[in-house]
Amino acid sequence: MSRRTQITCASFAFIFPLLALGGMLLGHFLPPIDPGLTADQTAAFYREHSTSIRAGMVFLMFAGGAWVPLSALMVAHIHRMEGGSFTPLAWISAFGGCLNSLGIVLPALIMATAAYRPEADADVIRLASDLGWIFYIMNVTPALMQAISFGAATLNDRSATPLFPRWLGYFNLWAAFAFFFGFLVCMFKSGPFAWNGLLAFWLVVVVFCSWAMLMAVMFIKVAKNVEEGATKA
Amino acid sequence: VTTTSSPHAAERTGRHVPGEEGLWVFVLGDMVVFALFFATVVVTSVHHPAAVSQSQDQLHVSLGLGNTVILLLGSLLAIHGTNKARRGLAAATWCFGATALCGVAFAAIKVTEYAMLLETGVTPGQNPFFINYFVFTFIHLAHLVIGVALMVILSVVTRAPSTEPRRLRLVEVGAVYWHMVDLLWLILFPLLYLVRQ
Repeated sequence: MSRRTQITCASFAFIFPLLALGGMLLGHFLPPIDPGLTADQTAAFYREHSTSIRAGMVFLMFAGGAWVPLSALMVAHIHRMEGGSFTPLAWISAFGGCLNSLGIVLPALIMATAAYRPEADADVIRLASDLGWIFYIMNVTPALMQAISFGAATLNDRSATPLFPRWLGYFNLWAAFAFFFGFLVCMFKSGPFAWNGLLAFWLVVVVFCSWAMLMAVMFIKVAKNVEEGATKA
Repeated sequence: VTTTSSPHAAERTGRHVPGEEGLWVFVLGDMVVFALFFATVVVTSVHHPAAVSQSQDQLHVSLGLGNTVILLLGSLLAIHGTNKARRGLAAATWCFGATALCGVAFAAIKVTEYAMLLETGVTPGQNPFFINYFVFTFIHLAHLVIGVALMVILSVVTRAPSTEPRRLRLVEVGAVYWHMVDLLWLILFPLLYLVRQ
């Protein structure tokens, strides 16, 4: 893999938060809509911001696409660390990357749908909104698959001179722990575990974006070594 | 890198990070997330003082206290096991096995406590206090289950006497993790059961 390709793939980690957070800002989704609102209040929100929500969700959908190159680079590194052609951790990471991308695209499409017909019944608009938010925040397993497989591969790297420091492996395991709490959003309509809460939303968003960018920085740092290793072999 | 991965080399220099340096990224990160939990508990009791003290009356302090003692006993056994493993003694295997049993006892008491609460008609979503109680103790319990698994692994790998550095590192990583789970409970227990508004 050429150094230029690696750096390009890694750079998408910086485009990703711009598209995702920018799209959510544009759609008035930062901070997220309050899950405790009534159907009429929710519908009023989507009617008032119908155009900007749909525009914002276009950006969020492309953020889902921007997640793929970084994920592919993660898979390639896990594959390299596992060695040989029997690389189950790399496959876990690949499936996790696909699902994570879909996990961002799908809620963007659903929330765009919620804003698509302002004249629709309030209950219908709220159902679409709930679907979008619960799909978006509750679906934590893809990120767990990506972080845990990378952590496991880094800590099990038996090569004489591992490219990644061991703390990066532990950091990935910790990131998986921090992503974990999103699954609770279907239980609560207020408090830290609601989809606008401190632990289910803000912690996950901050750690997710920081994790992606940290991984990108590490990937860019080792890009030269990977290229040299490849030409030697 | 070699000094951190080989405890014996590091001992000579007088500076030895237990387990390995990278592990502490996880431990400190984990404790930051739990610090958010603790802050949530405090904020809840400030906003809902009546609901919190009424809910606290329904908890079984004796069971919580018993669990605290069990975890501390487990930590003591883990320390013994680590010391024995460092000297390459096979007796470490019994210490780690006993630590794992402490973890199983903790989990059994915790699940009993959940059952007793649910039986009296308490539901996890009843009020902000019980949301905190069930979610945070459950996440702690999930940590503990991982700790028990680590102790079982340590018990298995220390069966044969050896002071191989990679094995010692694994022993220390497991012991540090166990102490972290213990420490988190030592804060969670008084915050949920004892601190009154």
